[in-house]
Amino acid sequence: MTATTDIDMVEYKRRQKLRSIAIGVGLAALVVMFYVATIVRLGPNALRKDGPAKPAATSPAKSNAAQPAADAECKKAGTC
Amino acid sequence: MADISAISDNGRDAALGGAVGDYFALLKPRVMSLVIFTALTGMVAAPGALHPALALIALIAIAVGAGASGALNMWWDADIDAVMERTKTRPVPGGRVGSDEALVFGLVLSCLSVLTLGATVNWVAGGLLAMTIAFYVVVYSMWLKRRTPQNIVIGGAAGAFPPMIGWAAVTGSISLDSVILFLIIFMWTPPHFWALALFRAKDYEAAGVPMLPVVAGARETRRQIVIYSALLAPLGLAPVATGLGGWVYGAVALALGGMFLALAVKLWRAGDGPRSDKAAKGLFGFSILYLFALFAVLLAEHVVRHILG
Repeated sequence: MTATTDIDMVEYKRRQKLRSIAIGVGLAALVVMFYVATIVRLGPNALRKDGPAKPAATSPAKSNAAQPAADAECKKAGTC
Repeated sequence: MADISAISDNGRDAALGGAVGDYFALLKPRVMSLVIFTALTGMVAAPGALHPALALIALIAIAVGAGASGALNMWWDADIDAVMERTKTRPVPGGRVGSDEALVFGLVLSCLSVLTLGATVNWVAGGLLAMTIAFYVVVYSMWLKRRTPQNIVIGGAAGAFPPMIGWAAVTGSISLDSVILFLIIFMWTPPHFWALALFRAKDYEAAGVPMLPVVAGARETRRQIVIYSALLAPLGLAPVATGLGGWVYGAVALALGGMFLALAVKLWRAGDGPRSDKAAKGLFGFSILYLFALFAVLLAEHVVRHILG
């Protein structure tokens, strides 16, 4: 192997190393972007271990709808 | 590993593999900067809001997508680029990056940019980015560029999509205002590139690219430049009519549109010879300033509107 090809081999390795670093940085940036996007899109739910927040068990509308039946029941039982 | 000792000096660069800077050059960074700027304007001008982190991701994805289409263009046009003075030192014709490497590089970045934009922001924007890349590579580079002098008229649509993509990233839709931004760049592209082609006609002729000055002559090209400039000047005012642009934008668009048209007429009257080249270079330089200023004022107006609520 001549001196020229030795230099070429050094240059080849240097460029290969730099390309590998660039690819690594690019992939890391991609991972960070997806991570950030996930956190931003899910908001506080991203940190909950028991899944997304559930809506309240009974809505006011539902309570109002159930009220006449409850009234009738307590009148029947004489507990009103 | 390639056997470097067995190759000639001509192939040395290719066997060494391109430097990182050569791959960056494949992305056409100057075109990419204009794409980022117009996409940002589309995003800021769009009604609604996008989380700053998502907006940054969208801009990066749009920029990488534009760069990827540039790399694919350089892969396809390497034979033409090698002949033309302006492009013969690009990484592929210069032998610093292999043709296959440019192709793979462009394809990988195209897929990643579209998937990133679609998955993290929305699929309307992702779809538009995919369409832009396909339009630039397939419709413009592969189909029109070597076949018709109208190449830049139709192919110019690819460069006009970025503000529409930025707009779609925020709103998830396409609207009249985003179409107007598209049309401004679409109408700006022919006089911009024909002015360049006028003083680079020999280059295009040597490469066999049927640009208008090569096929129809300088006189017809100058006439077409005046026609497109006359259409562009009032179109630049359209954002005022829809409320997208304010009075500052209107004043700038009116002044710069008038100047654009005046330079086009000056070029038309210059006739052939050295005066024509000078006028063409003047119009080419001004056309860059025109587009930059129009979008900069629009961007500034909307930033002020956001700040003032």
